[in-house]
Amino acid sequence: MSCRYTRRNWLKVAGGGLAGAYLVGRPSPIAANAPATRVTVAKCNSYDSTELVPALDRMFDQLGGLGKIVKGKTVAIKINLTGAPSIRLGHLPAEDTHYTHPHVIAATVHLMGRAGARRIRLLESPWSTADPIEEVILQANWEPRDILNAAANVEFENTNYLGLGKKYVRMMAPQGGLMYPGFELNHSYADCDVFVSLAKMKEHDTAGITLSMKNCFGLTPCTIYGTGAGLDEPTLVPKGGRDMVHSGSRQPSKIALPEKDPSSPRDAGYRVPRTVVDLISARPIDLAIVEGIRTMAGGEGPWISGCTAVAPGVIVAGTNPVNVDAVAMGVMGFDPMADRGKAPFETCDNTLRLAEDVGIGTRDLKRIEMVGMPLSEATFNFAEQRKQRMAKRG
Amino acid sequence: MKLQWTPMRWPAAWKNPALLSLLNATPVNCLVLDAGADLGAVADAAKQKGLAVTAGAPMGATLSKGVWPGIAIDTGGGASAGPTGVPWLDSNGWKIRLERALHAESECWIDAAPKPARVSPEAYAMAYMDAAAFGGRWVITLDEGTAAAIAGGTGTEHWNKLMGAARFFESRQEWADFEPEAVVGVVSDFAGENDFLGGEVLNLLARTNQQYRVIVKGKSTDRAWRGLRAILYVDAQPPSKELRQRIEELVKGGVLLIAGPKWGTVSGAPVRDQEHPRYEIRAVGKGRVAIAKAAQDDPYLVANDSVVLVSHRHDLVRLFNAGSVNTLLTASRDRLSMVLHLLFYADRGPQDASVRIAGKYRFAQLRTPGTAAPRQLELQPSGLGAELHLPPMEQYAAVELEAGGGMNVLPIHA
Repeated sequence: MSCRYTRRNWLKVAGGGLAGAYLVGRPSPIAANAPATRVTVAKCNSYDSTELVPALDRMFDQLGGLGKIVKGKTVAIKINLTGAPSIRLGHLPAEDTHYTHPHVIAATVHLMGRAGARRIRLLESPWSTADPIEEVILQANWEPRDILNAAANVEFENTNYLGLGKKYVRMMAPQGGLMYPGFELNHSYADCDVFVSLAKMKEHDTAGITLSMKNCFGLTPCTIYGTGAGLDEPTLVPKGGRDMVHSGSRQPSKIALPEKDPSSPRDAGYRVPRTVVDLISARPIDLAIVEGIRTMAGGEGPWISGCTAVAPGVIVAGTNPVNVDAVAMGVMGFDPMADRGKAPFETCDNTLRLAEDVGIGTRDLKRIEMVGMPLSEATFNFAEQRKQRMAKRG
Repeated sequence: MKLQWTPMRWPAAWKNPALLSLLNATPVNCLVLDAGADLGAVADAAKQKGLAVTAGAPMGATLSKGVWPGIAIDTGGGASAGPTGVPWLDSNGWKIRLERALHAESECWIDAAPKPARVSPEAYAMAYMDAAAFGGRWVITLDEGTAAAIAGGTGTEHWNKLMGAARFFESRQEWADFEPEAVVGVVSDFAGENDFLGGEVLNLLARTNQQYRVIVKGKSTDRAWRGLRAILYVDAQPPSKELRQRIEELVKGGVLLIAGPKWGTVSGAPVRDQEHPRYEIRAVGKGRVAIAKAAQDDPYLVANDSVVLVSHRHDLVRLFNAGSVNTLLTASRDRLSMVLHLLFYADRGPQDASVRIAGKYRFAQLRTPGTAAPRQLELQPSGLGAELHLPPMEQYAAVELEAGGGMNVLPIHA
């Protein structure tokens, strides 16, 4: 299970004045003691279940066994279905570029069921709709039954609105929050014993990278945090994206807590990383899995120009999301210790550093125990491609 | 039904009969002259050339007020959007389909003047194709500036593009006889208090790319009910005894009925794993009945709820990277040939678009106006359908499909 943070630690950090400054220079004192846990890396070149299931199975064993995490528990898994299912990179299916692949979802569900999970709930806030997730993925040519039948008691819930809950659940960032003190979320994020982020390995136009932590940006329901959110009350259905969080153009619906400091920078590169840290503080990640078997380089979705499809053939997993994302960044050829101004954080703060500074986990690869495939053999150099892309753009 | 007419509203400023030479070797064969336009000389010359001259729709045609097709622009200049942020499309497709269902023996003409902000050659071609793809005809109407440019010889691109579209459909008249393939049949009298809801539901269903069939009470043939997965009963009044009986039989055979509370009592057990905020769903025979908990007065909700109630599992057409698009999947009466009409309303046609079509096919090709030869498309298996990767296109394309192994292209469900 992930580390749990002490109240004292949170207060120390909250008093450190982190929320108001762009991140450069000296890390916070708490970073040095941020938790370091085991992270497993596996080479997996295809989505064929004969290769994928054993690879994941081995990885979970290397983390101490999946049963230890999920047995008898209600497990919530946040998958990544960013953008509408009708949008593709070229003619490629979404799962080969920017969606968590359904075979990875099904394999994870299968292994969790086998490890004794009592109930498995697959969560996502899909683009601009209150339709059931099953209906969303059918539009991507997926078959929901392949996932629903991978274990007993599996269900989907669209968390981009109230969903099946009677009311939104307020979840607070224990350290007080860097951007938002807490969030109004779909009930599913509270009604679970174990929370898993099952992410795609990608770069991100705003946040530099999107791995297990940034995947959780989508926890926020657009009925409250979206373009068309009601001023006072949430809307019944979500509309558009989360521009208000990106740009700070307005505050969420009044049933939610406003951001802490409306005079803070309105720069998305400042706001998004902090919001992500607040979200994973409010809803800690117990298991982080980053799937990079086939994905895309250059951004989080086909709407980012210049993206290309790539096949790193790698999966990274662990119980601490900062540790996992640090290793995933290493796999991608990036330095997780990079500060704003350095790739891939040329125009944003480093989410990993912010998370480390509040004590969630270390990003220092020297402190993280890596098992499975050595980093040097697993590396797929997104960083070099990024350099070339940027040079081309001038 | 062969469409007899390709109508054009003759510009009031084109008083010189010599301009009729523009129509040489074009499909335009009927001039609509506005009253008081002082076009007597043009009318006489047109008649001598064998063109029909009329002040409105002739016998055998109905004239409906339409819209200038395209992405709706709001007052701020941005794309006007619906409740989920998807841009609204102005299209006459649904109206033509409704008119054809209401008046099966008549040609449907659409009367829509150009919008001043959108009078590019592409916009004119789209105005024509938006009607023709659905089996109707736009009464070609030029704005003053474009008319002056064409008359003065500088509007060649406008004219050629427009006439290219007209020729394309004129040479494929047989497509107008193809019948819509459908997942859902929309049942209404489309009259009186049901006129607005019925029409708007058709309009908004089209925006979801759900393939539908218009079923007018008292006017439907048996063929109108074939192959449906669902029936959407729109009217605020309960159905006649005969209609209820017909629909209940289909439900027992596996069809989903979606209706308002006025439908009346439904037997059958509630479907436990299908809770819906706006519908009570019951199992009846092999099918289901979804009755709205409150009166159906929001066409957007009715259309979108119906798509989810039916389920995207049964989509006949799925599009990728297509942008703001309108589609119509049609089949020949023997159902061995199909045509999928694709209309792209953005200023530029899509790049890297793909389409997934349910059914089994042995051959597919793409036809576009302005390209003489069709382009063969590779059929890639995709579940119980085929996926086609489309080349870059402009505003309209037709995918022609031939059924595989002499079978009907789509399974008959009901």
